[in-house]
Amino acid sequence: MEKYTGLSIKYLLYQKKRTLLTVLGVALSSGLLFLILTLYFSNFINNRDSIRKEADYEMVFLDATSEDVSQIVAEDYVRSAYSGSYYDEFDNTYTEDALFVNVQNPYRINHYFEQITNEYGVDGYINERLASYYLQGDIGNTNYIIFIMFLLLSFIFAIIGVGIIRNTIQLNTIEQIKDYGVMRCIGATDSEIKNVIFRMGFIQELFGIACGMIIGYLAAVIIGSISHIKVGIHLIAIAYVFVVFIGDMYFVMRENSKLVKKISPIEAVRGNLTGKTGKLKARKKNLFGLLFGFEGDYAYKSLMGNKNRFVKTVASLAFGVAAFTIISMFYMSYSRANQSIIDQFGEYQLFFCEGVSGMKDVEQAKSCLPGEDELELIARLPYVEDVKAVYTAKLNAAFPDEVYQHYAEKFLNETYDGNYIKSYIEGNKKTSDIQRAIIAGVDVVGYDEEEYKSYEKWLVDGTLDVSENGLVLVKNIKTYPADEDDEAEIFVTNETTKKDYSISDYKVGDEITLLDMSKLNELFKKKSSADADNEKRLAIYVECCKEAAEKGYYKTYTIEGIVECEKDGIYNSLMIPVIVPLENYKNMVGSDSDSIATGVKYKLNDYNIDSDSMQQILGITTDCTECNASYAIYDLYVMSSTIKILRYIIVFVIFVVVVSSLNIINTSASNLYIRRRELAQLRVIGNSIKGICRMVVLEGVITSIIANVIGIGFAVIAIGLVKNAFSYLFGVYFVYPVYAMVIGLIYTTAVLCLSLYIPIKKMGTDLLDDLR
Amino acid sequence: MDIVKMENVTKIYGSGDTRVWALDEVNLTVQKGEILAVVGASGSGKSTLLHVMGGVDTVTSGKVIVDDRDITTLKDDEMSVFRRRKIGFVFQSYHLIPVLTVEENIQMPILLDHKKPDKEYIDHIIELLGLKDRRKHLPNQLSGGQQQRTAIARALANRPSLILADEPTGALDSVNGNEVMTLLSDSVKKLKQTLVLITHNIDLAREADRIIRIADGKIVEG
Repeated sequence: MEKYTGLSIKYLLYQKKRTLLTVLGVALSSGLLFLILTLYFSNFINNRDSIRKEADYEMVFLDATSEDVSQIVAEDYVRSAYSGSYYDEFDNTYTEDALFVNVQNPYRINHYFEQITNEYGVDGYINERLASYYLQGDIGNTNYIIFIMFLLLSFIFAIIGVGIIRNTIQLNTIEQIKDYGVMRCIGATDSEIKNVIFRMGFIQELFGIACGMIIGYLAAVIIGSISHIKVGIHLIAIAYVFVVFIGDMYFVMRENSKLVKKISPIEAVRGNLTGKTGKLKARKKNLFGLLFGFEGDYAYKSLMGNKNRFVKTVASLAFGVAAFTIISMFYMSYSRANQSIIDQFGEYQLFFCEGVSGMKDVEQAKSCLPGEDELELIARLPYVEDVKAVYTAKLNAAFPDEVYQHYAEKFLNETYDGNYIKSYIEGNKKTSDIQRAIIAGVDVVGYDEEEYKSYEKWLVDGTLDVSENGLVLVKNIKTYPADEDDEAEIFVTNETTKKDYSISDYKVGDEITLLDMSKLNELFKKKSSADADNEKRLAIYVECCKEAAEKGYYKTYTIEGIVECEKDGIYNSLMIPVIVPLENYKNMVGSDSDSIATGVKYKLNDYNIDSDSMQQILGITTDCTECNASYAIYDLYVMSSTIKILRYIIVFVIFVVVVSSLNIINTSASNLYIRRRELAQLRVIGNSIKGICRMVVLEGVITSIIANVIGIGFAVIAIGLVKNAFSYLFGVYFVYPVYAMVIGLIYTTAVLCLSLYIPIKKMGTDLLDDLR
Repeated sequence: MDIVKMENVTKIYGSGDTRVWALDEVNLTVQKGEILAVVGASGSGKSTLLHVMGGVDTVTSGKVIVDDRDITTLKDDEMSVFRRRKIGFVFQSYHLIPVLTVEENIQMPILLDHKKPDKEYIDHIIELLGLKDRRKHLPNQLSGGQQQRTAIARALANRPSLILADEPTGALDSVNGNEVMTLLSDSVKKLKQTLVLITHNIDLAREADRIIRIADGKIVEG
């Protein structure tokens, strides 16, 4: 026993660099797996504990008699029990003296619950939320499926990770094959050689796993402290890493032992490491010969000389490329959806506001807002970075036709909103006339000095430094195109299909005549009655507008500046959007009071919205006509979840890329080592090292081209088949990751070529030694 | 006319106490068109002499002039080009490229030089060496003798000034060995090339124009 271990250690020390690389490879891959498992299980346990803190019972019995209670409590399998009031949230009923029970083995809750109900004839419920974390109860099945899927995914992780070690150990074996040949020639049996190979692998593996677990645990603690996850040591994670890595390693060692046995002792001693390479076939000039000349021809023939090896390399590379492409599809699609969500919100993503108008004064507008308590509650949420008052008003035009002639043709013809306005312009119905009069005007937002100045970057014409009667026009608004693809609408819930449109053709210097809001309001208050229905009120309002215009209650404003867009997406009317400094706003609405804000907007930090606060905000009721709370908070919550998914995808992509690269490097190096004699033969007949590099690199190029064609081809077909289904399933419009395909192609070719080029450049120049 | 001129060539392997003089102040000239046989015991330095002459091994000191060019001063890439144009190698273990056919193996030195093979000449060599029926075969489909004949054809393909053969019949039985040797010497003579041959077989050596014997890295006879 000791002689094998001793010999294994000597070999490992002899190749210190490679041993360290292997240990590092094992440490990184097992560490990453351990990190993921530790975080997953810690999070799982944390959730379970927090549920227990809320209600520490696994099952509850509602109609147990005192005799039943004493007997149930006395059962061996019962860990603890207590009596109390049980509230059934579905029936909205209370049960006094319900018996709450915890059992010794919560992983058998279903069994014990059934036992108690059968044995004592009592009625009760399993605490489903808690039971699911023990994979019990009705919804436990879902957790069970997620759990199994997670373990499977981890297993795939591990298999990919072991790939690094597989190749490195194979390289070790190949380099020592001559020594093994000598040992076999002098009488070592195959099982004795196997013993040495197995021990070498296991020693490296054990060291690597130990280091990996330490690294993984420390990383988990750091990530846990950032993400508020209490991280613990989980035996299941340790056992899983050991079983998966050691188990897979066993098969790797067995493969290596077979490799040694495959080559006869004398061939091994002679250094003929190629073994049986399968049946060689004479091949005609091929496509690569035509593309790259005789070197391409040779490279292809050389690759085909060991078809098995070539097929394996292409298959693993194609698999990697396909995996990378498909993962990139998720990444790019989610990024796109994410960006789309970000784009639709401005700096202050969440707002409640109600514009004042001739129909609605400040107090009336304020009454539409949610309660102060509710607005404060949102302001206190940990991710709310800033809160600001919103000043918004709708001022009607004294002469509607003047405004309508300025709506942009493209906007009128190509957008839903534009079509709507167009119907008013051309309209002949009574209601349309009313709407027509109401919509003609400006939707103005007033800003405090600091916010107003921030518009400097969006200024496209004129100035922000406006006079008392000056306005700054907002050029573009986001709205839905009229011919938007219905299919996309149905499938895609996480991204907007809104586009930017210029709403009007107003230019700097153009004038707009607007009714005096305060006078209009006075007229309207006089004429309307509180009990009039909405249609009637609107009709009265239109009458008031006409009267105000006739009486000359209006003022002419000049457009003195144009900005590209409004920064927070507050506008939702079809009126011409304008912005002004707060002082101008006060003049426009006819008030010098500081308390004329009729809205609140919130700046949310890093979109780290949790489910609970989303529910809280969704629960806030409001009569505001300009409020984006429900869809904004939902979309932002979805985006926050998306960001988390993207982070996992990035980690996975990096992992796949690093592991694949290491695999390629190792495989290439080992293949070149095996081919030292062949390369020396080429040099003897006059090929230069440069020429050999070219040929070998061409092999990399050819392999990469074929692998990418297969990998990308497979990925494209797979994406094509599942694209719509995935869009429906994930609520994200899936796209072909063209950039990823190009990057994948360039990256694999570069890695493959460099992994061949660098070892061959470093390869010893001892031609004679290689020839022997 | 001298095709090879070796002046005070020394080749030392190892260092310190383990130093071995594979070649010790060797002086040798080979005439153009000559067939020179090098004989000697194992470890005497005859293979080193051949390798140094072909530029596949470096010298510790001295000059090796082949076809008026001191090859000890050539850089690695220059040496490769020189080798492919001026020197043809024949090894005991053939060293053919397994994935290429007989014809492709023979053409390889010409293709490496990015030249178009002279089909007539290649056909001539193939015929001369009796490989006409085997030109589309892979090396593993050939007998040992046929493989060695392919290696000889490859050595002749680029019309090199010098053919270096390291025990070319060492892996063959006597019948095949004699046949290969006859073909090699006939071809060299017909194509007016120079051959330096290492052999243990004194009968084969007798077919050469001159024989030199090496012992302990020195030419002791011839």
